[in-house]
Amino acid sequence: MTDPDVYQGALLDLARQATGAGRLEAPDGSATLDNPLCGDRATFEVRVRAGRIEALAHRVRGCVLCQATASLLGREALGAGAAEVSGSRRAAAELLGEGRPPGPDAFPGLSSFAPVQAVPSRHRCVLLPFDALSAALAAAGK
Amino acid sequence: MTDWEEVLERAAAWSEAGLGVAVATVASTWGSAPRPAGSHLAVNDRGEFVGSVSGGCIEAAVVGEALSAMRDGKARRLRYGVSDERAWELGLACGGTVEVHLEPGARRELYAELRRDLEARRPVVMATNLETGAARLVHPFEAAGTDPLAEAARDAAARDQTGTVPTADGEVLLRAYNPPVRVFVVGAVHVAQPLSQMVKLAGHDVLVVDPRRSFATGDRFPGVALSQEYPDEAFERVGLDRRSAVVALTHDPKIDEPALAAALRSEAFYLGALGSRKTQAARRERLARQGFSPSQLDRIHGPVGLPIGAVTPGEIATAILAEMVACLRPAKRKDG
Repeated sequence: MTDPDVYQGALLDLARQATGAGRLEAPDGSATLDNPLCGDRATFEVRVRAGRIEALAHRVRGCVLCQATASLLGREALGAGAAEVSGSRRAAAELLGEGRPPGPDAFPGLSSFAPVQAVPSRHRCVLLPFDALSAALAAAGK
Repeated sequence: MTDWEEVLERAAAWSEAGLGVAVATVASTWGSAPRPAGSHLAVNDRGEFVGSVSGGCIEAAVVGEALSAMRDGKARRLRYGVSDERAWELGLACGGTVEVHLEPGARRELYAELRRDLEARRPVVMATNLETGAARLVHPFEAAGTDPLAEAARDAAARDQTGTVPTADGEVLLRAYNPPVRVFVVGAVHVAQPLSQMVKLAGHDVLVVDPRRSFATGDRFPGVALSQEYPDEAFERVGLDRRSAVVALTHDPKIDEPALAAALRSEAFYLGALGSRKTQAARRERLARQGFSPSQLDRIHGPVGLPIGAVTPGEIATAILAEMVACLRPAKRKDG
């Protein structure tokens, strides 16, 4: 669509794997966020033990980028707490905004989103699942 | 509410209130006639009436016959036309001929059942034997093969046309009642604004579906039913059937394609998709990979709309609505 590089192999594979796609039996928290302009929609459900994600599931209606991010979170966010999720969200935003490579504390695999830096209109697609996961964590903490 | 609903509901209400009632139905027409076969006129014993069987030319005569029918309890077959001297007297100046079936009573139970069927979006045909007056409901797409009226009823419902068929027991009037046409406009885009209004003016139901909340707003679509679901979710909730049309207008594959795939799996009578020939070809290939055959994919009209050189959103909506009507009423098309 906008930029063929955005749909390079690594992101397509990530999206196709859809790690974590599905539902949780009894989530401690859940949240759905959408982008009202493009229609991307991400629902995250989490089970939390001692402030860390014990289990998560997500359902995404959206573009490949949104699906790829959700899949990455499904793979990497288990065991993380709210601080790590928002830290990786910051790393993703800096990668997209300034091209800064993610640090060692960020979720592995984030760097495959580097080509999206060139397409500012799609940054939100990558960040939306992070925000939905953070919101689900916040809901679990209430 | 369609005109026949108003007529039959009024007839039922009069009957419930204890008034005498008779219902007239146009059984057939020849030449030009102002009201098509299937049109209803209901009359009560005070001479009040609702609905029409012509453009006002023969109503007075039918009302008079209706009062007689209420008194003697007998059904009547009435014919008005140029061959009849009374045609001029009655003012059927258009040169047509109209046959009217008139019967006393409001058929409250049958029509109540018919309304329940239509609420469940089940097409139904009222079969009235014009010689004996016996009436029953036929469900044209469910009727057993052993029902002698099954095929003719299916034809009447599919064409949405009333007609008579000869049977061993005499001539039978088949009056099809179809649930309202429901048009699903996918994409609350600029073209959808005039299209949704025009669909309503054409007498059909419309639902504009767009998960992009900033598009699907009441401000942009005053008075139009909106859904902010993904189209396949909305279809699953509401149900697509043979009286449904789906028009995909977003240009965004993640929204249009699930809509088209769901529509292809349904009996929807019209599928249209915006986009250039190149877009159509690429989409066709992607849908083919989902397992749809070429003949299934041929159901999609794209580029959408009749080729009338439409430029403005209103003109494009005109082209789409015209194409949809052509698919809805193939039997009525002169070139079809």
